[in-house]
Amino acid sequence: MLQQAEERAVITEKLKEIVGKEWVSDHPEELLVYSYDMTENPAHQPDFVVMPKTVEEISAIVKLANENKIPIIPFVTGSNVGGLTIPLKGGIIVDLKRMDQIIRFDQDDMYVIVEPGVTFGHINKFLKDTKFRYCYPNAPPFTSIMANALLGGLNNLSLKYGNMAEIINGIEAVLPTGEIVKIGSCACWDEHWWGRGSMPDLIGLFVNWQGMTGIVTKIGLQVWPNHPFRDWKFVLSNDFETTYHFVKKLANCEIMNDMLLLSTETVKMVLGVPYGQAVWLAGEPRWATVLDFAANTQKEFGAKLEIVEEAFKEVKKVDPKAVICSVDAAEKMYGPRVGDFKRLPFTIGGMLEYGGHTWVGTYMTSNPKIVSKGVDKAFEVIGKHKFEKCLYTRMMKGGHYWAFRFLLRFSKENPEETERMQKLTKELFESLFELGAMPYKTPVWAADYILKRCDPQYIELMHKIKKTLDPNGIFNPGRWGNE
Amino acid sequence: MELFQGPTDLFGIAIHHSLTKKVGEDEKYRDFIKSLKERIVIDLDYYPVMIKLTGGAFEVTRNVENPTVIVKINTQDFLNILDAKASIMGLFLKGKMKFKRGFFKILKVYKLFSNLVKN
Repeated sequence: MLQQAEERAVITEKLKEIVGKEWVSDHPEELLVYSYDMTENPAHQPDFVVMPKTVEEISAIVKLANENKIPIIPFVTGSNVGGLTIPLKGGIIVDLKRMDQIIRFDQDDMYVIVEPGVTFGHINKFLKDTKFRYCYPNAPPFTSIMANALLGGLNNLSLKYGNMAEIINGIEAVLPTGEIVKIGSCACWDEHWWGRGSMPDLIGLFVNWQGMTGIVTKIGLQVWPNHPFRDWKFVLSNDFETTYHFVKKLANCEIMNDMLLLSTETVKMVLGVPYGQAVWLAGEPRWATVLDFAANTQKEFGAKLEIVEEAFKEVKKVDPKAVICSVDAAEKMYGPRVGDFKRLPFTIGGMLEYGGHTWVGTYMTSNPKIVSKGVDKAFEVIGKHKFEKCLYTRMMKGGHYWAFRFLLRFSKENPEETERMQKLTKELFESLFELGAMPYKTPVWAADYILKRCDPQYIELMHKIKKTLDPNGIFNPGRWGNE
Repeated sequence: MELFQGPTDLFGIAIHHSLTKKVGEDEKYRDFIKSLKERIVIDLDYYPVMIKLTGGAFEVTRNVENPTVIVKINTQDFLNILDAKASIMGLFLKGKMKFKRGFFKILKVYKLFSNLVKN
């Protein structure tokens, strides 16, 4: 935090010279907006907010920050659910919303190049009348597709392709010392962003670093062809392990676009059941599985459906009450909120309306015993702290790993509840970490657990890289053990 | 503003939502509902749900005391009706939809549900 008013005034003026006076603010009421997010993570105010339009402006801002050793935090919408853009040490928030161009759409190599401010809503609209699609998380349409990729978020093609970081083709970034760098095949030819190339892969210098190694200004992301036949099925079941094996069996067939397991509480949240009332009631189904599959011909589609139905018969042998229905039937019963699963991106109904929302998102082994144990332990912990057991969970990358995402609502206006949520997220994370789960979009407090367990040589290497790239330690300080 | 009104159990929500939608959209159906004063239990294999019809107003609840009609149906068959894979009459004729009480009200129940699924 800058102490001297004169010093602040000088920096404000210099920032205005770079981006224009209307795109800089040091007014407390505007800074307040950037000091917190919807999570339980404590707020901290920045000193300045600046909204650049070009990579050159960003480079100039970074150089200014370096000269004055002012922390700098890249920001788009702050909806990462990990407190990742809360400026822990104050400084300059670089709000990238104005950089919202889809620069290229290459249909041959199937990728788009986008700026940081391009959202899931933008890309969805852009691709709507093409033969291609992007992947979507169950996140609001106003979130940045670049941020989600750089933070390794999951999406509705994660079953096939893994987390979003795995679909990055290339990057243009401003390094912490102001230089502009390209990584991937685009480093050789700006007209070719088809992949990471054959050079040492440096994309990882920006993945999961949470803006500690620079500001990514362009990113190449893969898109995929649409298929003319597509449908969704919903399965309601009662036993997690049986449901897991159903999902695993279909994953091994490599025929599904996506499969998503939701606890009954999550379904209720989606349906709009008010905060505090989304609880599982005795006698209800325990799990809902959303199946998304597509095909090029009716015959192929029918064959896939047959495989799904055969796999479901196996479920019925163990779980006779399990049921399956179409998304249309589900919409008849529950209205358009259920059908939103086929209209991604969308904001999960009832998730954001209650002031506070946080999560514990982890990637882990897909070993069924460990996954089941994770569910049991997590539900026990959430129950102990008296919150809703809203779990969204899925198999990743064909079954190579698993994802847990606990979607936790709370009343942020209530200090007791916020404190209770802080205890819950820590305890929930601890119980999963013991089982080998790693949090993604990692909040500071969770990163501490990882660092304690991590190979010391890994940490040293990470710190060396950080020091080399960011000698003054100005980029999003306070994260991953970097002061 | 409250986002949600009505039951919070999974099948209660479904029935409440379907009824609310149909009553809101279909005047004839609304008039028909007004004519009903029944306590109809749909006895699903998961758990029973009661629709209390009181001359226009309706309530969907898990409290299934003092029913005037009890219809037993498998949840999968119920979903198959919505998926147009089964019909109420077909299920009834096959014995997959059974009246445990209030059999003489079968036509009312048929009208209530057959119109309800025509969304």
